Amino acid sequence: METKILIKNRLADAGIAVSEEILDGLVPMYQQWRQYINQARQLDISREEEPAHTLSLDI
Amino acid sequence: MPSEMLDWTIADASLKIQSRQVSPVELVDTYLEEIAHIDGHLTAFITVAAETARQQARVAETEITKGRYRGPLHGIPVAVKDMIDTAGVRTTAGSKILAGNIPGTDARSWELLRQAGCILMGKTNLHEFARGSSTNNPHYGRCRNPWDPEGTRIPGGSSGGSAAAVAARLSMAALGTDTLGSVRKPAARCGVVGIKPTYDLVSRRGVIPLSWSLDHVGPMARTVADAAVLLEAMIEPSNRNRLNPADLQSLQGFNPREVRVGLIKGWWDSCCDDEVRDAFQQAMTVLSEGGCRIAEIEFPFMPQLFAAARVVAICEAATYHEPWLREQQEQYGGDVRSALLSGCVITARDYLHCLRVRAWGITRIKALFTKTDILISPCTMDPAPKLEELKGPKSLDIAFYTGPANFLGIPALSVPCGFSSYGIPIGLHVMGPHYGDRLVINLARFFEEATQWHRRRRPPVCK
Repeated sequence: METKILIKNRLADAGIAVSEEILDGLVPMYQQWRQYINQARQLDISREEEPAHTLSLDI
Repeated sequence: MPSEMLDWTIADASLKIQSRQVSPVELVDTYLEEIAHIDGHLTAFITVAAETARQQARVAETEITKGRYRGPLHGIPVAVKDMIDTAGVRTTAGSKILAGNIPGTDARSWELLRQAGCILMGKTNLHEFARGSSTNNPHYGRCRNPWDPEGTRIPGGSSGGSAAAVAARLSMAALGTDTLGSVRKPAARCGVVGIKPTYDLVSRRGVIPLSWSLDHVGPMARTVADAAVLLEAMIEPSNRNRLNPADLQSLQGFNPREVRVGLIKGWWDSCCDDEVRDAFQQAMTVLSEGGCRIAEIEFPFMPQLFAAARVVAICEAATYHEPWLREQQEQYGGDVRSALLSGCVITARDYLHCLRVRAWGITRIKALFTKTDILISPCTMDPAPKLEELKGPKSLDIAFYTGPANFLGIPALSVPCGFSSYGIPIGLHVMGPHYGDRLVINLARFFEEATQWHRRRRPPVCK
């Protein structure tokens, strides 16, 4: 319910009105985006690692 | 001869056009006849530009007769994805919103091809506003995969009409746009070659954006050499010096034994079905037997980079579409409207974080390409699924292998590498370093010549 209200409010901020039916469909999509955002945030981009990768030509 | 013409490559046709054994008018008429025969079933085109094509063919014929042959693309029929502006011929983006949009000028990429002598056959079907992978268009019809006799499988997307048109012999070549794989995936699923060049090599001016920082324009054709000749003509002249060497068609200096081919450990086989895995492993054998040095490489970031790419893509698309979402929301098909609305909800902070991830990823991929020359992977997770199978998680990860190349701006292509047990093509995905477009093309040509998958005949399309 909180997610639905959040979506509704953010769309309203952008001047976009949506029906309840459409809004219901946006909840799982928004949750999917949150998963992608969290996945992207798994990368530690704040500091350099050394080495980032290795290559083996032996296999 | 007419039916034989449909099987010609650009290389075949240009020799015959230059020597005046065939006229561009004959060639165009033959293709238009084929479109009239089968596109009612296939729906590869939104607009068939028959009169424009005939008129341009007559001009080409006159020029060639007078000795003013422009080069290997003079008189060659090309279909253009309906996201790319063509002066005087409508550009709908597969949408109802732009159904009456007739551009006054050509997109720069098409302008360059037209100057090289290409003839516009029409505007090809796509997923609405290029935001999707099925090319099941609610406004202009469902495009079908020409390799599927039952007509139930998707051609891929979003440039599905372009790929289907080339595969079904409705055009000799086509242009597509590629934001997370929209040239390469349909190319793979329709058994043709599709190239996404290095970011910014080809102008996006005059192309309706999906995601401006991920969008690319790229060619599709039946052979790697044909796609390369198109790409070479599309490159902005001021960008040509970025390629070293600039000649994309030449194999001069290419030695497969000197090419280090990398497989990203834990990624290349993490998201594909058995049929794709088998075809890919056979492709690796071909490359290995040809002398390429294949090695697994550590680069455990691709899933996260793809996730960030998806976020960037939807945020930019939502931003572009915001005015229409506010005022004409009911004009969109349901899936595209919902996706765009959901993108409006993501915060600027999350978007900007994903852009930082991108900058980080670019430094990492540059470092990776000091240790390998080429990366390969499957192009798609599976051969073309049926439309009804495109639901749930499977549909979300459909650009799993192709999306990172857009995010990182590296050149990539798909070349046919086999067929599923039910006769649907499978593509090999080849990626290279920034401005390494020629190496990517050379390796794909080498593979194509070694395998000959591109010569397989597809079953007749239902009429």
